[in-house]
Amino acid sequence: MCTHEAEARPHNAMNTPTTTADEQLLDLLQRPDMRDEGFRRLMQCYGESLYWHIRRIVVGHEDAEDCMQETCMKAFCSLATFRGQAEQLRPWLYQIATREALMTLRRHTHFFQSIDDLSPLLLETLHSENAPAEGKAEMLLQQALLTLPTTQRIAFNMRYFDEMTYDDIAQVTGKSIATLKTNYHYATEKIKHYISQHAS
Amino acid sequence: MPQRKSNTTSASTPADTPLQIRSMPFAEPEGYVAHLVARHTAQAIESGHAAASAHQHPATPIRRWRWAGVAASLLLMLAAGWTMVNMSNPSRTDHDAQRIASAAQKSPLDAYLESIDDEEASLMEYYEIEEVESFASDVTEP
Repeated sequence: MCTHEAEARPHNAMNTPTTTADEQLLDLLQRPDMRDEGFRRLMQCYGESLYWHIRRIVVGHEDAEDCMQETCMKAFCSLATFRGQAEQLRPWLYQIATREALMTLRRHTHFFQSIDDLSPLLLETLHSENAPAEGKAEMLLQQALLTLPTTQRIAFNMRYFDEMTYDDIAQVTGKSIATLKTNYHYATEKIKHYISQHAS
Repeated sequence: MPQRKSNTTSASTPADTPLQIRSMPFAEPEGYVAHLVARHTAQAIESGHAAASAHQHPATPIRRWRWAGVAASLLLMLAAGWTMVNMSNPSRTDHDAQRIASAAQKSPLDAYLESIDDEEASLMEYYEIEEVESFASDVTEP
């Protein structure tokens, strides 16, 4: 649901929910004459969280900006073919963004290299773009996250930072809910262990 | 699951306390990300409309050249395949010509012996050696 309009669903006299912000967005997007306006509102709702989702995957600001541009273009070009429900708008956007971020990571790999082997490069980028004025705890958490496999890291980010449901994460990643819950549990344990080892 | 708190951090994070870190260690200026999102949104809308109008044009020169390239590639592939098939299977007349040319360089006796087929060669086994030699000398005498 769109965060800046997140209110409890008002009910009318018949106790049926009125249209939510996502349903209003979907109505706009399905009308060809209002599609541009609908897309602008859609990105106003989810654009910033999309950017930070991408940034957590690729770490570098330039890569994140390129991914964001590609995500916006592909999302706009695919609007006419979107056939899901209103509540599937956010996972759909995250799916496009995640795919672009993973393609960006693959461009940094050599022929036989896995994207999981990019952790040293991403760590170096993290240190170079880190703001020293920010807290050490954020830095420590990001370092811990970069020790995880990429797919586990992505699932953890969506669950922890974006507070998405496992249903939505499953739609984004294509994995089962049981796998995601297991991954999240192991990721949490690894992160806590890393932080406890490295916290001064 | 801990309650969401924006931009809060914990001073120390022992293993038994839940994670409460929600912000990123990057100091982006205030409103920068919102401005970036708005800019990319506008660019996406503009590019999307430009691409849609390009696809609606019936037969652009770029599209014609593209199909010409595809046709040329297919013709080249067919020609290459036809050449490879012919090179791996030489014609029988070429093979016969090579055999006759090599036979012409040998002696008349050798040429005669090579020209007889397998059935005749098997019959030769029943002749005695003298008869074979006399027969051979009859052939070689001018």
